[in-house]
Amino acid sequence: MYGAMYVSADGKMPDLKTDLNIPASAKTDIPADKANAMTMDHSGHQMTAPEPMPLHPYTPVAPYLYRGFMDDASPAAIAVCLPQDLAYCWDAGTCRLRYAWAGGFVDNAILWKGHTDAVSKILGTIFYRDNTVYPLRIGDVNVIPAVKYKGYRLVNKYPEFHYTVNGADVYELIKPKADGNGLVRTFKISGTDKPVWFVSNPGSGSEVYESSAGKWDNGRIQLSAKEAAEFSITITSYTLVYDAKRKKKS
Amino acid sequence: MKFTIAIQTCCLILGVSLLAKAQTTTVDNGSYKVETIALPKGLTGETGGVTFMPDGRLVACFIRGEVMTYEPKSKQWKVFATGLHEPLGIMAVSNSEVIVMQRPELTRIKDTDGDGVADLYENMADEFGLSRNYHEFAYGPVKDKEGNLYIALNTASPGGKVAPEIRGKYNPLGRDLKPGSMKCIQLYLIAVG
Repeated sequence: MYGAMYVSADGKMPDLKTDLNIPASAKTDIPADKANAMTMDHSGHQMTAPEPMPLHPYTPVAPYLYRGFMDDASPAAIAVCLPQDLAYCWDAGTCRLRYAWAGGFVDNAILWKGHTDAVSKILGTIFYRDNTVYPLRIGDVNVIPAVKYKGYRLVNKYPEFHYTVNGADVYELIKPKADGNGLVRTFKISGTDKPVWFVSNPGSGSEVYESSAGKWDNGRIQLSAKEAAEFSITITSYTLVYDAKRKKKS
Repeated sequence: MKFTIAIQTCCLILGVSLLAKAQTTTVDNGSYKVETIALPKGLTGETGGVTFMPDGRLVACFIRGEVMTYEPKSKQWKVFATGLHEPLGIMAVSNSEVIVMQRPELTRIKDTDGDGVADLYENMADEFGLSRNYHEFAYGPVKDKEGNLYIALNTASPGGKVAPEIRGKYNPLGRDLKPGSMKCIQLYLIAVG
C-alpha cells in the first residue's frame, strides 16, 4: 500500500491542507504551475544500479535449511546446508535421507519466484544416494516398515528429525564428518523392545559405513533395542576423500 | 481437534500482496488507521499471512520461508522462524507459538527455550496429496467455535506438471480427453491423499 488510508464510522476526514500524508503538489492552495513542477521533479530519483539485495533479513550460516520442491524426492523435501561445504536432502514424505552433495547449497531463485513449476537447484555434486528400499527395520529385517513424519527440532541449529517407524519413535540428526569426507547420522530410537536393523546401500563401493554399536551382517547392522536407544552411522565417501587429496596436491 | 480439508476447484490467485506493510491501529471507536511499515533489508514483501500475537506484535510469513514479528512500539522486526515452503497462512497461538500452513503441511512452530526464536516445528497435518504442481497452494488454518482447524487446498493447474514422485494417490478424474489435449491428460490431478 502506498500513502495513507483513513477508515472511520462517522465519515469525517482530516483537513487536506494540514494532512501530512498529502503531498504538497496535491494541495489546492499551491498554484497549478508550481504544483506541476513539483510533480515532475525527478532529481531525487536514483539512476545507478541498485545494491544487490540480500536473500533474507538474516544472514544464513550453516547449518540451516529450506523446505521446498527437490528432484528425486517427494514433494515434502527439506534441503539442509551443513558446515564443511556439505548439504543433504531429507524427505519428510518418506522419512529418510535421500541424497547428499558437496560444493554448494541450493539456488531457490525460480522456486521463490512462484507461480511456476520449479525445484531447488542443487549447487554442487551429489556424492551419496540412499538406494535402499528403506534403511531402518524394526522386528523383522525383511519387512518394510510404515513411517510417519512428526516434525523436527533445531538442536544447535541442526534439525533433528522426528518420525515413527512401525510406531517406534525415531530421532535422526545428521552432521558432517569432522574431516568433511562424509556424514554422521545419529539415531535415537525408543518405544520398541524389538531388534533394529540399519541397512546400507547394496553393493556400493563408493562409501564406507561404520556403526557405533551393533553387529554387521551382510551389509546390515543389527542392534538390540537397548543399543538402538542411541547409535550413530558414519558414512565416508570415497569421492570426497579423493577430491580432498586432489585439492591438497594441487 | 479435527482437521477439515476443502479442495478448491476454482483458480485462486496467489495471495501475495503488500499488505504485510500495513499496520492497523484503532484511532477511535469503530474506526482504524492504516499505516505503512518499512520492511527490513532483505525481506521480500510477499506475504502469505498476517496476524497478531496476544502481546500486540504483528506476526507474518513470507514467500522465502520467514516468519517475522514486528513490535509496533519499537518498530522493530525480528526473525521468528525460517526455512518454510511457501507459507500462505498463519495463526497465532501464543506469544511463542504460531501455526503456519506451508505447502506440504500444517506446522506448529514454537519457541520452547524462550530465546524468541522458534526451535520446534511439529507436523500437525500432512495427509493430503501433493504432485509438485505449482498451483497446489495451501491456505489456512481457520478455527471454528469448537476449536477445529480448517485448511484449504488448491488443485493442480493444467499449465503445470506432475512430478514423477508424488504424495498421495493419482486420480485421473477430470482429465480433458479432447483431441490435442494430451498434455492436459497428464497434468490434471486432483490432490487427494
